[in-house]
Amino acid sequence: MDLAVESLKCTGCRICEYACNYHHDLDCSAIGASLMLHRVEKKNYFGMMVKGERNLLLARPEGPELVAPGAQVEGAGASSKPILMRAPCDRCEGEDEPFCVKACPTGCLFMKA
Amino acid sequence: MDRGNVYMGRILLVDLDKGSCEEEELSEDLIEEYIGGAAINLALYERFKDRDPVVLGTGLLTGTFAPAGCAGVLTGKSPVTDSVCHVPLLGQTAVELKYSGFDFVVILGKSEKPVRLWLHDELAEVAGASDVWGKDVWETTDKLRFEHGDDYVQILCIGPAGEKGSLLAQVSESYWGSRDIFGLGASLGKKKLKAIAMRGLGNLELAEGFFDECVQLKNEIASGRIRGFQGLVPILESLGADPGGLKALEARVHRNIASFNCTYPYNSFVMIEEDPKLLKESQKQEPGLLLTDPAGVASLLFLKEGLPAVLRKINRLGLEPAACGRILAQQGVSNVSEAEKSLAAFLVEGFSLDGQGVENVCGVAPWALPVHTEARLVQASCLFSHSLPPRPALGSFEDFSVSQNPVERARWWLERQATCLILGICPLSALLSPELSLEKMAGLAAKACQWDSLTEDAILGKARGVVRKTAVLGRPKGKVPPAWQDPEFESFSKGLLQGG
Repeated sequence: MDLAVESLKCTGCRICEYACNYHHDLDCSAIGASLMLHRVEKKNYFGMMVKGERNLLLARPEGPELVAPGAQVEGAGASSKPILMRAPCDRCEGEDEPFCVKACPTGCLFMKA
Repeated sequence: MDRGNVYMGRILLVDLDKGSCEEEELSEDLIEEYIGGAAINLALYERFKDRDPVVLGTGLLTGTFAPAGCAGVLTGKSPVTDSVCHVPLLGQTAVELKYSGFDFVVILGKSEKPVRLWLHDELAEVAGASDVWGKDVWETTDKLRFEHGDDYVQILCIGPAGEKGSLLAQVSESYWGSRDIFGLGASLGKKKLKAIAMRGLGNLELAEGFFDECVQLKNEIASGRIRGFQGLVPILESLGADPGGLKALEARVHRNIASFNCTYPYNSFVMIEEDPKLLKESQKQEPGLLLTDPAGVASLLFLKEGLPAVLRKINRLGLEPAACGRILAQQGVSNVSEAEKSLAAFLVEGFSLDGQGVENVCGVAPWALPVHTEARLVQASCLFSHSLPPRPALGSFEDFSVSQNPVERARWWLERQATCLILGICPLSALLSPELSLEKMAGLAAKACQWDSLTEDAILGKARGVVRKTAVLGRPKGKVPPAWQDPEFESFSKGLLQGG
């Protein structure tokens, strides 16, 4: 089972970032999350980025893309940099369901075989 | 009480006369006395009232896992009504403020030269703003984000309308306007404060079990009254907006956006120069705009296909959309270029609705869709922004089990606004979701900071205190529309603010 993102369901509320951080750091913040909302605000172009153990999932509205560390990514702004320094997603090991999935109000984040 | 679970513990006093900042502790005593948000704002306002304060505050649950915990509040004396008002801040602004390290910011006095404030990592800096003075809201937001090297810096700023002192000036939250219908944009302009930029990388502690309780309430909200709806269009439809205007708008909707941790995404992005079905990133830099303001959109619906382009111009100039809509309609404006010409004339000192021959409530634009007495009563009180709207949406008062008596209904609305703005819960979400009850909000607030005596009654008591005290601090100077004026309305109005 792995974390999957149905990007078009996302409404950009950002609570998944805080939920993920809660799993890693046991506090309320967004800076230690394994996933983050990438948003080009004036174009309303947005999607989740999820840092995996060996790759980065870019859940773009037009379709997901897996990129390897160090790969050049088209359209990556300054805000996409910090995720590369964070802990990878461990699907909230030890919990019945990942916290981001629990917290998401739209079902955009889910577990998939 | 565990303060660190809900607040950073810091109040910032910004002295614009001197161009300096000073910090104070947000003490547990102050939280115990007022809880948070609008109630602390009001206490700070009263403490500094001789220095023309504008207070920017976060609620007890702002930025926490509490569903719809996105709200902050601006409190100050409206230059339009000449009375104290509270304007909710939605979106990401208040969350960013709290995580920047400051729970409350009190802006005092007046700068000689244009300045801006930069809040980050528990640091505050007053800097010159000659580089952005004269720029519109979008240019200012872009420039400050570029300068601070981060697209997630949140900006509160004014545009040319605020700089020039038009009473139609609005404080804007980044690009997309705000619920400021009381001219606080002109107040910041008078202070020569162009912008407040915020970036929050701090953290709050968390009580055990709080996350799970929040998730449970979020699930109840998601499967409750809002189920099956999304965006601004259903809200306006439920309130009786013109179906023709809504149809034109709906055809341009790209995707709906939720404010921080809000279950219902009530903001709708509309494309202007781009296909609304586009999934890829647009090659155009500014293809559309985010609609965040039910009142502004309702007021401009008569422009049909022209609405998004006109509203974009209004947002860029930092004008209040509902007021602009009233005047443009009165002038018989029917297209984008006519509207743009008209808007230019609104950017002069003292320009107001009063004197334009349009209906207004103490100088403020009335809610543009049909309402009953209770919604007129809350508008006439001029205490909270009625752009939210001034009544429940998607559902009815019955969904919230409120009696049919208009004064009771108006009191319920005022107290719900005050409650939300004390706790930091989105007051618009609270008009959509009966599941977001006082009982549930109080339960989460008590749990969040391990404060057992923070009961429903205690919160309601503070909310009533905010309504009463704000009303006592000043009565709006203007008049209500002639059609509203009758002895019954007057007696209801008096009863509303004296009772409870």
